[in-house]
Amino acid sequence: MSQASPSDFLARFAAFPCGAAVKTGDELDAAVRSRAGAVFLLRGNGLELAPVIRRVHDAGKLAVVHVDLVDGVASDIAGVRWLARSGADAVISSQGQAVRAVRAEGLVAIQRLLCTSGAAIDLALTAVSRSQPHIVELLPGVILPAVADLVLPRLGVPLLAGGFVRSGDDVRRLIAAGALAVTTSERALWNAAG
Amino acid sequence: MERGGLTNATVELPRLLLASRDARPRPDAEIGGVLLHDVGLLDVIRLSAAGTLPVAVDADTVEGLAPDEAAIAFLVERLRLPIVITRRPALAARAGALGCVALLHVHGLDSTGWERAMAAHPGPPVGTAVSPGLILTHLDAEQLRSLPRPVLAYGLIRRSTERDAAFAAGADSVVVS
Repeated sequence: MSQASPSDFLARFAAFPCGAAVKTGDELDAAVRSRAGAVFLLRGNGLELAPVIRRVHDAGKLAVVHVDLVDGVASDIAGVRWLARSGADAVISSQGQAVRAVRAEGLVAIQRLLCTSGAAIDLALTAVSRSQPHIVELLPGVILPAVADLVLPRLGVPLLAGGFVRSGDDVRRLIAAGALAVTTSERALWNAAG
Repeated sequence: MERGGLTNATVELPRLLLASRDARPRPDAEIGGVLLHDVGLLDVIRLSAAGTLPVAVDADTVEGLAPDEAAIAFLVERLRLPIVITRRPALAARAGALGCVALLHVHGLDSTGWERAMAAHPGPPVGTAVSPGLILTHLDAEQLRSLPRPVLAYGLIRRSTERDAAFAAGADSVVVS
Protein backbone atom coordinates (compact mmCIF):
# COMPACT_ATOMS: atom_id res chain seq x y z
CA MET A 1 0.00 0.00 0.00
CA SER A 2 1.38 3.43 -0.90
CA GLN A 3 1.67 6.19 1.66
CA ALA A 4 -1.78 7.26 2.85
CA SER A 5 -2.67 10.95 2.90
CA PRO A 6 -5.08 12.88 5.11
CA SER A 7 -7.56 12.93 2.23
CA ASP A 8 -7.46 9.12 2.11
CA PHE A 9 -8.66 9.08 5.72
CA LEU A 10 -11.33 11.65 5.05
CA ALA A 11 -12.59 9.60 2.13
CA ARG A 12 -12.71 6.42 4.24
CA PHE A 13 -14.63 8.15 7.01
CA ALA A 14 -16.97 9.78 4.52
CA ALA A 15 -17.74 6.33 3.14
CA PHE A 16 -18.25 4.75 6.58
CA PRO A 17 -18.20 6.98 9.68
CA CYS A 18 -16.62 4.57 12.11
CA GLY A 19 -13.06 3.50 12.86
CA ALA A 20 -12.46 0.19 14.62
CA ALA A 21 -10.57 0.59 17.91
CA VAL A 22 -8.74 -2.70 18.50
CA LYS A 23 -7.00 -4.06 21.61
CA THR A 24 -6.98 -7.83 21.11
CA GLY A 25 -6.39 -10.42 18.40
CA ASP A 26 -10.08 -11.31 18.39
CA GLU A 27 -10.98 -7.70 17.83
CA LEU A 28 -8.44 -7.47 15.01
CA ASP A 29 -10.05 -10.51 13.36
CA ALA A 30 -13.42 -8.80 13.51
CA ALA A 31 -12.07 -5.43 12.43
CA VAL A 32 -10.43 -6.68 9.24
CA ARG A 33 -13.72 -8.35 8.26
CA SER A 34 -15.79 -5.26 9.08
CA ARG A 35 -16.86 -2.24 7.05
CA ALA A 36 -14.57 0.07 9.00
CA GLY A 37 -12.11 1.75 6.67
CA ALA A 38 -9.51 2.41 9.35
CA VAL A 39 -8.28 0.19 12.18
CA PHE A 40 -6.91 1.88 15.30
CA LEU A 41 -4.36 -0.32 17.07
CA LEU A 42 -4.47 0.58 20.77
CA ARG A 43 -2.56 -2.31 22.31
CA GLY A 44 0.18 -4.80 21.50
CA ASN A 45 3.90 -4.84 21.07
CA GLY A 46 4.79 -1.79 19.04
CA LEU A 47 8.09 -3.41 18.09
CA GLU A 48 6.28 -6.33 16.42
CA LEU A 49 3.43 -4.54 14.68
CA ALA A 50 4.54 -4.92 11.05
CA PRO A 51 2.65 -8.22 10.46
CA VAL A 52 -0.45 -6.81 12.12
CA ILE A 53 -0.34 -3.69 9.96
CA ARG A 54 0.21 -5.84 6.88
CA ARG A 55 -2.92 -7.78 7.74
CA VAL A 56 -4.89 -4.54 8.06
CA HIS A 57 -3.56 -3.41 4.67
CA ASP A 58 -4.32 -6.77 3.08
CA ALA A 59 -7.93 -6.21 4.10
CA GLY A 60 -7.88 -2.89 2.25
CA LYS A 61 -7.94 -0.77 5.38
CA LEU A 62 -5.78 1.99 6.82
CA ALA A 63 -3.72 1.29 9.94
CA VAL A 64 -3.50 3.80 12.78
CA VAL A 65 -1.16 3.12 15.70
CA HIS A 66 -1.50 4.80 19.09
CA VAL A 67 2.11 5.43 20.01
CA ASP A 68 1.27 6.31 23.63
CA LEU A 69 -0.53 3.02 24.25
CA VAL A 70 1.39 0.28 22.46
CA ASP A 71 4.22 -1.38 24.33
CA GLY A 72 7.88 -1.08 23.52
CA VAL A 73 7.85 2.15 21.55
CA ALA A 74 8.45 5.60 23.00
CA SER A 75 6.36 8.61 22.05
CA ASP A 76 9.32 10.36 20.47
CA ILE A 77 10.88 10.86 17.06
CA ALA A 78 12.65 7.50 17.03
CA GLY A 79 9.52 5.68 18.14
CA VAL A 80 7.43 7.34 15.46
CA ARG A 81 10.11 6.56 12.87
CA TRP A 82 9.90 2.91 13.86
CA LEU A 83 6.14 2.87 13.42
CA ALA A 84 6.52 4.49 10.00
CA ARG A 85 8.96 1.76 9.04
CA SER A 86 6.46 -0.83 10.32
CA GLY A 87 3.95 0.44 7.79
CA ALA A 88 1.59 2.59 9.87
CA ASP A 89 -0.52 5.00 7.83
CA ALA A 90 -1.19 7.29 10.74
CA VAL A 91 0.04 7.65 14.29
CA ILE A 92 -2.07 8.97 17.11
CA SER A 93 -0.86 10.59 20.31
CA SER A 94 -1.96 13.06 22.93
CA GLN A 95 1.53 14.56 23.01
CA GLY A 96 2.33 17.48 20.74
CA GLN A 97 5.97 16.50 20.38
CA ALA A 98 5.01 13.09 19.05
CA VAL A 99 2.45 14.61 16.68
CA ARG A 100 5.09 16.92 15.22
CA ALA A 101 7.34 13.91 14.72
CA VAL A 102 4.55 12.08 12.91
CA ARG A 103 4.15 14.96 10.48
CA ALA A 104 7.89 15.11 9.96
CA GLU A 105 7.87 11.43 9.01
CA GLY A 106 5.23 12.10 6.37
CA LEU A 107 2.50 10.11 8.13
CA VAL A 108 -0.99 11.27 8.94
CA ALA A 109 -0.93 12.80 12.42
CA ILE A 110 -3.88 12.44 14.78
CA GLN A 111 -3.81 14.24 18.11
CA ARG A 112 -5.98 13.26 21.03
CA LEU A 113 -7.86 16.03 22.79
CA LEU A 114 -8.58 14.87 26.33
CA CYS A 115 -11.62 16.70 27.67
CA THR A 116 -11.68 16.41 31.44
CA SER A 117 -12.18 20.07 32.29
CA GLY A 118 -12.40 23.47 30.68
CA ALA A 119 -8.78 24.14 31.55
CA ALA A 120 -7.72 20.83 30.01
CA ILE A 121 -9.55 21.72 26.80
CA ASP A 122 -7.85 25.12 26.66
CA LEU A 123 -4.42 23.58 27.15
CA ALA A 124 -5.06 20.82 24.63
CA LEU A 125 -6.31 23.23 21.98
CA THR A 126 -3.23 25.37 22.46
CA ALA A 127 -1.10 22.25 22.02
CA VAL A 128 -3.05 21.35 18.88
CA SER A 129 -2.47 24.79 17.39
CA ARG A 130 1.25 24.32 17.92
CA SER A 131 1.59 20.75 16.67
CA GLN A 132 -0.88 21.08 13.78
CA PRO A 133 -2.15 17.52 13.42
CA HIS A 134 -4.12 16.54 10.32
CA ILE A 135 -6.99 15.18 12.44
CA VAL A 136 -8.02 15.54 16.08
CA GLU A 137 -9.72 12.85 18.16
CA LEU A 138 -11.82 14.13 21.07
CA LEU A 139 -12.18 11.97 24.17
CA PRO A 140 -14.61 11.13 25.66
CA GLY A 141 -16.25 11.50 22.30
CA VAL A 142 -19.71 10.93 23.59
CA ILE A 143 -19.72 14.37 25.28
CA LEU A 144 -19.02 16.25 22.05
CA PRO A 145 -22.51 17.80 21.81
CA ALA A 146 -22.01 19.37 25.25
CA VAL A 147 -18.56 20.81 24.52
CA ALA A 148 -18.79 21.54 20.80
CA ASP A 149 -19.07 25.27 21.51
CA LEU A 150 -15.74 25.15 23.37
CA VAL A 151 -13.89 23.06 20.82
CA LEU A 152 -15.12 23.46 17.26
CA PRO A 153 -14.63 27.23 16.84
CA ARG A 154 -10.95 26.79 17.72
CA LEU A 155 -10.34 23.74 15.58
CA GLY A 156 -9.40 23.95 11.93
CA VAL A 157 -9.08 20.24 11.20
CA PRO A 158 -11.50 17.30 11.01
CA LEU A 159 -12.62 15.85 14.32
CA LEU A 160 -13.10 12.24 15.38
CA ALA A 161 -15.09 11.36 18.51
CA GLY A 162 -13.86 8.38 20.52
CA GLY A 163 -14.70 7.01 23.95
CA PHE A 164 -17.97 5.56 25.33
CA VAL A 165 -19.50 5.51 21.84
CA ARG A 166 -21.83 2.54 22.09
CA SER A 167 -24.80 2.86 19.77
CA GLY A 168 -25.93 3.97 16.37
CA ASP A 169 -27.79 6.79 18.09
CA ASP A 170 -24.48 7.95 19.59
CA VAL A 171 -22.89 7.92 16.14
CA ARG A 172 -25.68 9.96 14.58
CA ARG A 173 -25.68 12.43 17.48
CA LEU A 174 -21.92 12.94 17.34
CA ILE A 175 -21.81 13.42 13.60
CA ALA A 176 -24.67 15.91 13.89
CA ALA A 177 -22.61 17.74 16.54
CA GLY A 178 -19.67 18.14 14.18
CA ALA A 179 -17.64 14.94 14.21
CA LEU A 180 -16.36 13.62 10.92
CA ALA A 181 -16.59 10.08 12.29
CA VAL A 182 -16.32 8.06 15.49
CA THR A 183 -13.81 5.54 16.78
CA THR A 184 -15.15 2.73 18.92
CA SER A 185 -14.40 -0.74 20.24
CA GLU A 186 -18.12 -1.59 19.95
CA ARG A 187 -17.96 -4.29 17.28
CA ALA A 188 -21.57 -3.96 16.19
CA LEU A 189 -20.85 -0.42 15.05
CA TRP A 190 -18.02 -1.56 12.81
CA ASN A 191 -20.64 -2.87 10.42
CA ALA A 192 -23.62 -0.61 11.05
CA ALA A 193 -22.50 2.74 12.35
CA GLY A 194 -25.84 4.46 12.32
CA MET B 1 -18.63 24.44 60.44
CA GLU B 2 -17.14 27.90 60.82
CA ARG B 3 -14.27 27.84 58.38
CA GLY B 4 -12.83 25.83 55.54
CA GLY B 5 -10.97 23.37 57.73
CA LEU B 6 -12.32 20.35 59.57
CA THR B 7 -13.95 21.11 62.89
CA ASN B 8 -15.51 17.77 63.66
CA ALA B 9 -15.11 14.13 62.77
CA THR B 10 -18.20 13.83 60.61
CA VAL B 11 -17.70 15.29 57.16
CA GLU B 12 -20.10 15.17 54.29
CA LEU B 13 -19.64 16.09 50.68
CA PRO B 14 -21.63 19.26 49.91
CA ARG B 15 -24.16 18.81 47.14
CA LEU B 16 -22.65 21.62 45.07
CA LEU B 17 -18.99 22.60 45.06
CA LEU B 18 -17.76 25.73 43.36
CA ALA B 19 -14.55 25.17 41.39
CA SER B 20 -12.36 28.07 42.30
CA ARG B 21 -8.94 29.48 42.85
CA ASP B 22 -10.43 31.59 45.62
CA ALA B 23 -12.15 30.41 48.80
CA ARG B 24 -14.63 33.28 48.77
CA PRO B 25 -17.87 31.89 47.39
CA ARG B 26 -20.04 33.83 45.00
CA PRO B 27 -23.42 34.83 46.42
CA ASP B 28 -25.24 31.59 45.70
CA ALA B 29 -27.03 29.89 48.55
CA GLU B 30 -26.89 26.54 46.77
CA ILE B 31 -23.09 26.40 46.89
CA GLY B 32 -22.07 24.25 49.83
CA GLY B 33 -18.31 24.31 49.47
CA VAL B 34 -15.34 25.42 47.43
CA LEU B 35 -13.03 23.18 45.42
CA LEU B 36 -9.55 24.65 45.10
CA HIS B 37 -7.59 23.59 42.05
CA ASP B 38 -4.58 24.81 40.10
CA VAL B 39 -3.37 27.00 42.95
CA GLY B 40 -0.05 27.31 44.75
CA LEU B 41 0.64 25.73 48.10
CA LEU B 42 0.80 29.08 49.86
CA ASP B 43 -2.59 29.96 48.40
CA VAL B 44 -4.09 26.74 49.74
CA ILE B 45 -2.82 27.59 53.21
CA ARG B 46 -4.20 31.11 53.01
CA LEU B 47 -7.53 30.17 51.48
CA SER B 48 -8.17 27.21 53.76
CA ALA B 49 -7.99 29.57 56.73
CA ALA B 50 -9.98 32.38 55.15
CA GLY B 51 -12.91 30.47 53.71
CA THR B 52 -16.31 30.28 55.34
CA LEU B 53 -17.42 27.14 53.52
CA PRO B 54 -15.91 23.65 53.55
CA VAL B 55 -12.86 23.57 51.32
CA ALA B 56 -12.02 20.70 49.04
CA VAL B 57 -8.67 20.52 47.29
CA ASP B 58 -7.57 18.80 44.11
CA ALA B 59 -4.20 17.82 45.54
CA ASP B 60 -2.63 16.86 42.21
CA THR B 61 -3.02 20.40 40.88
CA VAL B 62 -1.48 22.26 43.82
CA GLU B 63 1.85 23.72 42.76
CA GLY B 64 4.52 23.05 45.32
CA LEU B 65 2.86 19.97 46.77
CA ALA B 66 4.65 16.67 46.27
CA PRO B 67 2.60 13.58 45.36
CA ASP B 68 3.34 11.77 48.60
CA GLU B 69 1.92 10.88 51.99
CA ALA B 70 3.58 13.82 53.74
CA ALA B 71 1.64 16.19 51.49
CA ILE B 72 -1.64 14.40 52.19
CA ALA B 73 -1.00 14.43 55.93
CA PHE B 74 -0.30 18.16 55.73
CA LEU B 75 -3.58 18.86 53.94
CA VAL B 76 -5.67 16.72 56.28
CA GLU B 77 -3.97 17.07 59.65
CA ARG B 78 -2.38 20.51 59.54
CA LEU B 79 -4.77 22.43 57.29
CA ARG B 80 -7.71 20.25 58.34
CA LEU B 81 -9.19 20.28 54.86
CA PRO B 82 -12.33 18.13 54.90
CA ILE B 83 -12.22 16.89 51.30
CA VAL B 84 -9.16 15.74 49.36
CA ILE B 85 -9.11 14.60 45.73
CA THR B 86 -6.19 12.82 44.10
CA ARG B 87 -5.57 10.56 41.10
CA ARG B 88 -3.20 8.39 43.15
CA PRO B 89 -5.00 5.43 44.74
CA ALA B 90 -2.49 5.00 47.60
CA LEU B 91 -2.74 8.67 48.51
CA ALA B 92 -6.52 8.62 48.33
CA ALA B 93 -6.52 5.64 50.69
CA ARG B 94 -4.16 7.49 53.03
CA ALA B 95 -6.39 10.56 53.03
CA GLY B 96 -9.38 8.38 53.82
CA ALA B 97 -7.54 6.72 56.67
CA LEU B 98 -6.80 10.16 58.12
CA GLY B 99 -10.50 10.86 58.36
CA CYS B 100 -11.36 13.26 55.56
CA VAL B 101 -13.63 12.67 52.62
CA ALA B 102 -11.14 11.18 50.19
CA LEU B 103 -11.97 10.88 46.52
CA LEU B 104 -10.01 9.03 43.86
CA HIS B 105 -9.99 11.20 40.75
CA VAL B 106 -10.88 9.00 37.79
CA HIS B 107 -10.77 10.25 34.21
CA GLY B 108 -13.57 8.82 32.11
CA LEU B 109 -12.11 9.11 28.64
CA ASP B 110 -12.88 5.70 27.20
CA SER B 111 -14.10 2.35 28.44
CA THR B 112 -10.65 0.74 28.49
CA GLY B 113 -9.10 3.48 30.59
CA TRP B 114 -12.14 3.44 32.81
CA GLU B 115 -11.76 -0.25 33.59
CA ARG B 116 -8.08 0.21 34.38
CA ALA B 117 -8.73 3.16 36.67
CA MET B 118 -11.51 1.42 38.53
CA ALA B 119 -9.42 -1.71 39.00
CA ALA B 120 -6.94 0.44 40.94
CA HIS B 121 -9.62 2.05 43.09
CA PRO B 122 -8.99 1.38 46.79
CA GLY B 123 -12.73 1.21 47.47
CA PRO B 124 -14.63 2.53 50.50
CA PRO B 125 -14.18 4.73 52.42
CA VAL B 126 -12.55 6.36 49.42
CA GLY B 127 -15.15 7.76 47.06
CA THR B 128 -14.83 8.76 43.42
CA ALA B 129 -14.42 12.06 41.60
CA VAL B 130 -15.33 11.48 37.96
CA SER B 131 -13.95 13.76 35.25
CA PRO B 132 -15.45 15.05 33.12
CA GLY B 133 -18.57 15.11 35.25
CA LEU B 134 -20.57 14.98 32.04
CA ILE B 135 -19.51 11.38 31.49
CA LEU B 136 -21.58 10.09 34.42
CA THR B 137 -24.71 10.16 32.29
CA HIS B 138 -23.00 7.99 29.69
CA LEU B 139 -21.83 5.20 32.00
CA ASP B 140 -23.82 2.01 31.89
CA ALA B 141 -25.77 0.70 34.86
CA GLU B 142 -23.02 -1.65 36.01
CA GLN B 143 -20.35 1.04 35.79
CA LEU B 144 -22.51 3.37 37.86
CA ARG B 145 -23.36 0.67 40.40
CA SER B 146 -19.70 -0.20 40.95
CA LEU B 147 -18.60 3.38 41.66
CA PRO B 148 -17.43 3.69 45.27
CA ARG B 149 -19.41 6.47 46.94
CA PRO B 150 -19.57 9.33 47.47
CA VAL B 151 -19.46 10.26 43.81
CA LEU B 152 -18.43 13.72 42.68
CA ALA B 153 -19.15 14.87 39.11
CA TYR B 154 -16.10 17.01 38.42
CA GLY B 155 -15.51 19.01 35.29
CA LEU B 156 -17.30 20.55 32.31
CA ILE B 157 -20.71 20.82 33.95
CA ARG B 158 -21.80 24.29 32.86
CA ARG B 159 -25.56 24.07 32.49
CA SER B 160 -28.31 23.42 35.00
CA THR B 161 -29.60 20.59 32.80
CA GLU B 162 -26.18 18.92 32.97
CA ARG B 163 -26.09 19.34 36.74
CA ASP B 164 -29.53 17.80 37.10
CA ALA B 165 -28.58 14.94 34.79
CA ALA B 166 -25.47 14.20 36.86
CA PHE B 167 -27.54 13.99 40.03
CA ALA B 168 -30.07 11.78 38.26
CA ALA B 169 -27.25 9.48 37.17
CA GLY B 170 -26.20 9.06 40.79
CA ALA B 171 -23.80 11.87 41.65
CA ASP B 172 -23.79 12.82 45.31
CA SER B 173 -22.13 16.11 44.52
CA VAL B 174 -21.45 18.23 41.45
CA VAL B 175 -18.67 20.71 40.79
CA VAL B 176 -19.87 23.88 39.11
CA SER B 177 -17.88 26.85 37.91
